[in-house]
Amino acid sequence: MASNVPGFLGTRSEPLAKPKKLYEYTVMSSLPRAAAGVVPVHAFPLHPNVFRVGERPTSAVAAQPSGFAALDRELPGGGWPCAGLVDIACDAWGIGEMSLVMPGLAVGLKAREAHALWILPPCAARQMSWVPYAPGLVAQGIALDQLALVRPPTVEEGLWCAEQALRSGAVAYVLIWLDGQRLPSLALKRLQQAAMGGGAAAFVFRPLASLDSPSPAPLRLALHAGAQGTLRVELVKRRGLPDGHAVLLTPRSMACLARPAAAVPSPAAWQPPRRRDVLDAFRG
Amino acid sequence: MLWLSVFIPELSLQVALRGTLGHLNTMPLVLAEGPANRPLVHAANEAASALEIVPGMPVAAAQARAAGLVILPREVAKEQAVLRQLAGWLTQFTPMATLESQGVSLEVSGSLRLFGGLAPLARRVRLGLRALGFHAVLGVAPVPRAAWLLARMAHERAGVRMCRDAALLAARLSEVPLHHFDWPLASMAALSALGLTRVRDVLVQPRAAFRKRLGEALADDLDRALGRLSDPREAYIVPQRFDASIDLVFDTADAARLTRFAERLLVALEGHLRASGAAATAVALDFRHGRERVTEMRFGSRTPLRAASDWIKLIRERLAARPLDAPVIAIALRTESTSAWSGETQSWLPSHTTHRERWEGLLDRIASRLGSPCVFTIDAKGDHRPESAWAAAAHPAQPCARRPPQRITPHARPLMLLTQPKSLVTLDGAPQHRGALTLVAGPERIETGWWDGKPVARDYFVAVNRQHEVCWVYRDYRFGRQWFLHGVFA
Repeated sequence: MASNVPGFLGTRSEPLAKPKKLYEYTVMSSLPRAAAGVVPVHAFPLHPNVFRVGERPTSAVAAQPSGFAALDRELPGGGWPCAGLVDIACDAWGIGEMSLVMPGLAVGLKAREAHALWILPPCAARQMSWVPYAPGLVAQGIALDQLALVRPPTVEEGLWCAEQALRSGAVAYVLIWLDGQRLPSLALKRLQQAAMGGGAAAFVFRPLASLDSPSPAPLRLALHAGAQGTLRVELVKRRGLPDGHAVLLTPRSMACLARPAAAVPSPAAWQPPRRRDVLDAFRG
Repeated sequence: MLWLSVFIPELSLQVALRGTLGHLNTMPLVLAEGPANRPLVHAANEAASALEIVPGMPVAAAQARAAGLVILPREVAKEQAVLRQLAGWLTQFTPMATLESQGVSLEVSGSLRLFGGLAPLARRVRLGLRALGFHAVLGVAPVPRAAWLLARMAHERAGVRMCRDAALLAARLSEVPLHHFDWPLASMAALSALGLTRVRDVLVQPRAAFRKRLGEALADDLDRALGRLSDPREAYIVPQRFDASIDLVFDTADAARLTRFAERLLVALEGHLRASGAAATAVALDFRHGRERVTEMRFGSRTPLRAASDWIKLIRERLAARPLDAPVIAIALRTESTSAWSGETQSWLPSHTTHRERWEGLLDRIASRLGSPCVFTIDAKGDHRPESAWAAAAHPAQPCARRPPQRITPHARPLMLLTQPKSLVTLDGAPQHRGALTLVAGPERIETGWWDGKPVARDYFVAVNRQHEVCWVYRDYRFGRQWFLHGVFA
């Protein structure tokens, strides 16, 4: 859709031989018209980091499929970036927010022999403690021996871990949950730089309230629950394509909800088995 | 045979000053020994010697000569422990290391090729000893006694004293003062009464008469030094466990200073591990705050580590993350577990193993900063009970086996599990979790575990609440009929 929309600079007519340095363009544009010759605006060479609106930019960062075709079509580069931050805003707990990342992670871990580090939210002693559930991850195809988990005592320590991991070059994926608290102002910027330097992708899960403040992440998503186990992914920010589009996905772990079984009782009507029934079954 | 002797001049002073970072070098300092009511000066540093404080004088007299004199006790046991530690460290260069009164002698003829000759070997020994916090002088000779005497001579004129030819030994040793032999005081008095002070004075004496007047022991010792008598030595056996400590002269809680002391201990550990062909997987560092209080820090690594530079990274992280709350008076390092050293692969290509090592190193670093239980791996287990179908292992554990993931159930499993199931209140018969729950899949009946004391009898359902959050709930149909939340399909 986006590629058909002509930008205000027009479309590029022919491939350019080689990108020039930024200062060359500035010199050229400052020349009088007669000296530079008439340059049609659509043929004007662009710096690789500059793109025309509506044109899908050639992404400098490689991407890998997310496992959701509908989402891949909307993501710049056609999938999750292999390096950089993906800032995911989500308030609900259990609408498929992790399942969104799992298929891409599973394929990436298998293909690249890489490692993933998950930095869980810090939890106080009396709080309910959630852990990633190994059988569920196995069902998603995650290789558990390539995965390590960290439960940091504070958010700052968690950010330190994430930065160390991203910088080290030994980790391909970092998942970090940053709940509620106000982050140090440059924390995400540091993570983004570390991710670009170390060639690792970082998925940051934050509450929806974080959408009010700007983020240095090149890709920003907001997740909402849809009916029947679907997940509405809103593309809040992406490089080179208009923002605000939304995609409706069905994560794999939610497949059971798409086709509800008829025989599920209501909770009030559910009667546990009585011992006598079992004995009767034995007696025939 | 070629012997390299390492002589630690002023051993007692060096051992005492090892607990400082060079702060006391400019101040007059003495080591005191003897009865508590009249302590005597055992050794004095340069600043004290400049004020004419000499060993043997009462400490009170020394105090009269230097205002602000620092007095430290002499600890013989600690000196002996340090000597043994040095012998263990030096065993990395040769299997034959033997203890001397103030140093160690090494038989190095078999090690010259490995270390690239005598000069590079001597250089390594000196640099290593400096990293351990000691200043040493070296002597080289075909017999241990001569090497030792040459090392003691070298102390007077700094450098290495060497004599590799046995035939030249008598000539090279002729200038050695007799007090370097550490003979008994009575014999020394007799010798000085005869006007004999150096080896050359003794060598011109009639042999039989010398032997008769001064005893067999002295004559034999001289013969051993000259290579005329064999000199069998006992090799120092490196103990299995490494255990060493440094007493700090000034107590401090400063992480940077403590790291430098820890580094000295780690260099000793590295030599010890090299000597015993091992690598450590866990070490413990004790920071002693007083007579009673000790802060113990344990550091583990999944890959066996040997180099001090690897361990110091872990220790630095921990000290930076959790500064000590009280000043430290002593640091002790010991090995908790060791394993055989598999050797280092040297390659100029970045390989898969280095990637793996980087990953392990990262986990070690995080674990040493946050504490080992904060970093863990999870694994799936073949059990139908959901809480027994997974296991967590804290970081330095062995990585879980590489095998195809196994699923023992066709039913849906959530991505997040509550370690303690949360009991749900019911309203009109419907369990509530952020709103009423509607069951959408199930029941999956799990009734098992009666044999190991953790029986379950549950009907599991997938349930959805008003916010479309998908939960994994169960109803306990044996014990209380209560609804519980156990997981979410995140």
